[in-house]
Order: sequence, then structure tokens, then C-alpha cells
Amino acid sequence: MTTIAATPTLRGLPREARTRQPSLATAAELCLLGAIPVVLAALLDDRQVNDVDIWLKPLKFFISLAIYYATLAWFHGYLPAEVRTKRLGRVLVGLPLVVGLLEMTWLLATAALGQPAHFNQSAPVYAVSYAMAGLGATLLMLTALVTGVLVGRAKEPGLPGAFRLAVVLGSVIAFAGTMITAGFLASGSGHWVGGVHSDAGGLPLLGWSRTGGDLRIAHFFALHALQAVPLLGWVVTRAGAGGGGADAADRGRAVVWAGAALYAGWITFTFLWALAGRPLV
Amino acid sequence: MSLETVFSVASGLATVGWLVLAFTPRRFLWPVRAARLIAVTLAFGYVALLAAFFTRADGGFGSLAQVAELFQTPGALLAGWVHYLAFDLLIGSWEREEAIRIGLNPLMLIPSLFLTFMFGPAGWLCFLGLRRFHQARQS
Repeated sequence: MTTIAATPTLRGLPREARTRQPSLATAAELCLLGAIPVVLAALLDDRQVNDVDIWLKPLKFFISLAIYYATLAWFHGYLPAEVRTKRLGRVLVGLPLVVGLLEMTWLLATAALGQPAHFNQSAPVYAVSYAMAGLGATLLMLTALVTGVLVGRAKEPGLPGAFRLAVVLGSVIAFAGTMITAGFLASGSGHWVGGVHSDAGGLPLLGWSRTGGDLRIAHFFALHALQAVPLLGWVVTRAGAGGGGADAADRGRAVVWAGAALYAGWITFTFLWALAGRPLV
Repeated sequence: MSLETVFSVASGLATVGWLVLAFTPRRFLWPVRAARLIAVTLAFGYVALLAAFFTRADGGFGSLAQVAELFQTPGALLAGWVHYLAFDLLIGSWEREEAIRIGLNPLMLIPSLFLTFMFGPAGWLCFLGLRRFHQARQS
């Protein structure tokens, strides 16, 4: 079974991900390859949404989905065989693949048609697909939550408690944080709070507003709790690897709890900051 | 990026692919792989052109007049051209691979490759005829 000690080199990461969950790892790879024609399309296409190239959004989502799939593939390596081979294990792989495919189809199709994807109420087909995309995004986060919690419950030998705790906390914060921030975001009519209603002057690629509040910032940090908190758990486990003993394990868990709380606090801060109409960057 | 630039880059890439297919010693395996890689690159470009221009072009595939109308949009026309380049090069790389497999003299392959480069299906037919002739002599 996979142990945390068996950390591959950076170049070995793709192969390791494929060993852990081939389908999800391949999906991550294809999302990165899919980004190539999207970048080319951005160079060719002069159409814009919110004053930035219309292909920026599909590009961001391809990258985001690649990170998401790679993370899920990684987590699957920590699941015991009896979970992975059962129906639940297969659903945790198949569901995000199908939902991600539908999400990307929606984003690529709206971009090709020169339409905004989010907040588009200009025709029933756009309004309905936008609503469906919200449901799909919820399913993606739910998959991450269930996978993370199962890793925590698995108690695989060789997997330190502090790291398992970090995976659980990361997936819980990612799920809860995204439901709140993205749910609030979707209940409005755009991501700006005050400031200039344009992405043109925003942060490169991410487009975060520099003139007013931007609700996407908290959404971004909530989403990536799924990587940030487990990464902290990994660092903590590596740092304490030499010490050993029950004391070291307790200390590791305490650091992970503290780090997760801080991260959740940071999400809350960026959320309230945006609600107050203030730019973060 | 202007469409003329895309045209030049795509044609240049395709030409490099054809040159290595036609004029590298047969013992090398990399020319086939290099040509395939170029074909994949062209395919990425094709998809990008499709994404950027297809929904904005008039016309369709239903009649000759509709296809002509479709190609009135320069972006769609360029997509069609890159489509030729990609698929012709893919066929060319297959011809070389197949020629090595059946032990055809590589010099015999050059006319087929040239015809495929210029007129796609005509070169492919030429190669199929050549292969049939070669296999008849072998047996």
C-alpha cells in the first residue's frame, strides 16, 4: 500500500498519479493537453467577455480541473482496495469524469458561441445550462469531500495520522468553503462588489479586480484548500519524520489543526474583504 | 496573431514534416514520429481555428453552395486548409512506415509522398498501387 514516505521526485509525479488512479490521472493529463488549443484559440479570437479574451475562462477551468483530477487521483492511492473496488469507489472515479466533461463542454461551447458562461440569462438554453453547471460543480466538490473523508477513515498502515487529518480537513474546508463562497457568488449577478465592472485591469489570468471587491478570490482559496491543507500535512509529517513517538504525532496533528484553522480564517477574510468592496491585489 | 501568420507557420511546419519523411535514411525511426508530432500540432491549430471561427461563419455542410459560403469566412477557410495539411501529413507518415514494413525501396516512395503532399488522395492511391505492385513481385 502507498505510504507517504514513498514520495516520488517531481518528474515522477505523473507516473505515480497514474499508478494511484489511471483514469483520473489521464483526465488531468488530457485537461492540460486540452488547454493547448484553447491558448491558440485565445490568440486567434478577438471576442471578449468582461473585456478579457473569451477563451480565458475555458483555459482557467482546464487548468483547475487538471489540478482537481490530479488531487483526486493522488487521494485514491490512500484508499484501501476494498473501498476502491466497491461501487462507491468506482462512482468516486466515474462521476467526476462525466461531470467534468459536461462542465468543459458547456464552457467551450459558450465560448465558441461568443457567449458568457456564468450569469448568462440571455436565452433559456444558457440559463438552464448555467444552473446545471452549478449542480455539477456541487457534485465535483461532494466527490472530493467523500474521497477525503474516506482517506481519513481508511487508517492505512504507514500513513501518518497528521497527514490523514490534513486530507480530511482540506476536503471539508474545500467543500464547505466552496458551497458558501460559490453559492453566494452564484446568487448574485456577477463577481464584482463595487469597483470597475471589468476584468481588463485585473490580475493576469485570474482577473481579480484591483478596483473593488471580487468574490472569486474567496472561491479560489476555498477550492484549493483541497491541495493547500494536505500539503501542509505533508510538510508537517516530513518535518517530524525523524522525531517519532506519540508526542511528535500529537504535535503534528496540532499543527495541522492550527494551519487548517488559519486557512479557513484566510478564506473568511478574503470573502468579507470582497463583500466590503475592497480589492485584495 | 494574424491569419496570414498562422497560415505561414502551419505551412512551414507541414513542409518540414514532408522533407524529413522524404529525405532521411530509412533506418531512422524518428522521421515518422516527427511527422506525426507535427500533424498533432496542426490538429491542435485546427481545433483552435474551429473554436474561434466556426460558430461565426455562415453556410454549412448541406450543399456545395453552403460549403462555399462557409469558406467565405477566412478563419474557416484557414481551418479547412490546416485540415488538409494535418491529414495529408498523417497519410504521408503512414506511407513511410508501411514502406519500411514491406521493404519498399525508399526512393520509390518519393513520388507517392510528393503527390500526397500536393494532391492528398491522389498520392495515397499512388502509394496503394505501388504497394500492390511490390507485393505481387514478392510473392
